[in-house]
Amino acid sequence: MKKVCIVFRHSPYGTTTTREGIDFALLSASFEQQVSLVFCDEAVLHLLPNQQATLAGSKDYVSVFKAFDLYEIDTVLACKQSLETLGINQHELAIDVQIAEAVAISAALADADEVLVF
Amino acid sequence: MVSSTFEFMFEFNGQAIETDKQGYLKNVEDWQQDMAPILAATENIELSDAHWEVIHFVRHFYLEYKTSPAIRVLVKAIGQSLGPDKGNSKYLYTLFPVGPAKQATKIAGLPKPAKCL
Amino acid sequence: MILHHIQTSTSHDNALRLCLRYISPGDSIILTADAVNVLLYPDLIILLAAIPIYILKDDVEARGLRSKLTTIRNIEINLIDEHEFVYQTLRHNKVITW
Repeated sequence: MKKVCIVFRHSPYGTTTTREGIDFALLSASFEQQVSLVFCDEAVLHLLPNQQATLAGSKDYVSVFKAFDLYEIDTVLACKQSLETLGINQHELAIDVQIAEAVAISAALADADEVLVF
Repeated sequence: MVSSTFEFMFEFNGQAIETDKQGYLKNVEDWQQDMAPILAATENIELSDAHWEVIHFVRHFYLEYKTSPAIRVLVKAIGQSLGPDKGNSKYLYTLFPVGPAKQATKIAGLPKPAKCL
Repeated sequence: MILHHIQTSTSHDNALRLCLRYISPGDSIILTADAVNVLLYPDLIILLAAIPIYILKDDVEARGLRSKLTTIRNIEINLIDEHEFVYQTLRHNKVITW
């Protein structure tokens, strides 16, 4: 079992990047890899509630975030600095995440066997 | 008579229902309860109440999370909602011998789970 | 010890800045493709000062930027070829491609 850390750094729906990363994360978790997720930069916008991806011509890949625990993805970090830059409070977020200082994210990157950035 | 506008399809109540080549519905919204026994027959399954419980479960799962559950997730989710008697692969394989995630999602009108590539 | 790989220009992508936010002591950065243009931004070069920087030689020369390198002071820039790139990926614990 490998520790796979998947970092998201792109805003929702402008590209399919995050969707590909989520597919990869869920598949990795299904194959019993230990998956952790990091949301930073505008990718933290994926954590806002009341999104309607289909209106932007995208598949809804955000609803599955509520099922992360079923996939045994227990570590979900959101970059504190990115949230603050965008004026987002923790209580606004649609799912439970750990708000992480940059050093905590650095530690997560160092701790993983593989880091993939989407 | 329905004109065959789709590459893969079947006829249901005079309507052409599009599927992929393995028989999974292309459009989740096309599904109706009455369609389940027909889809089940293509898998040689006769639906019991126990089957229906799982079919409704995976359909609700999809509608909530917008993804078809792979087997491990299905087992865990069913275990949490319906208890350990049902949330185990032995029970689910008894109902869906070829593969619970694969077969239950098909009968529930959902896309094939990503893991069963 | 991580090798951070940046491929995109800072003028249209935040990859380098984000990488700098999370980089740890002992990590290095390799710049390839459009990321070599970083050398032209004095404000960014300052941010790279304490970090070992590797730059793919062919990408620098392809863009006619070789002479610009000589004007950069006080930072450790290593112009490397593809073999050295491979060596660096093996020398570090892992590579993160941003």
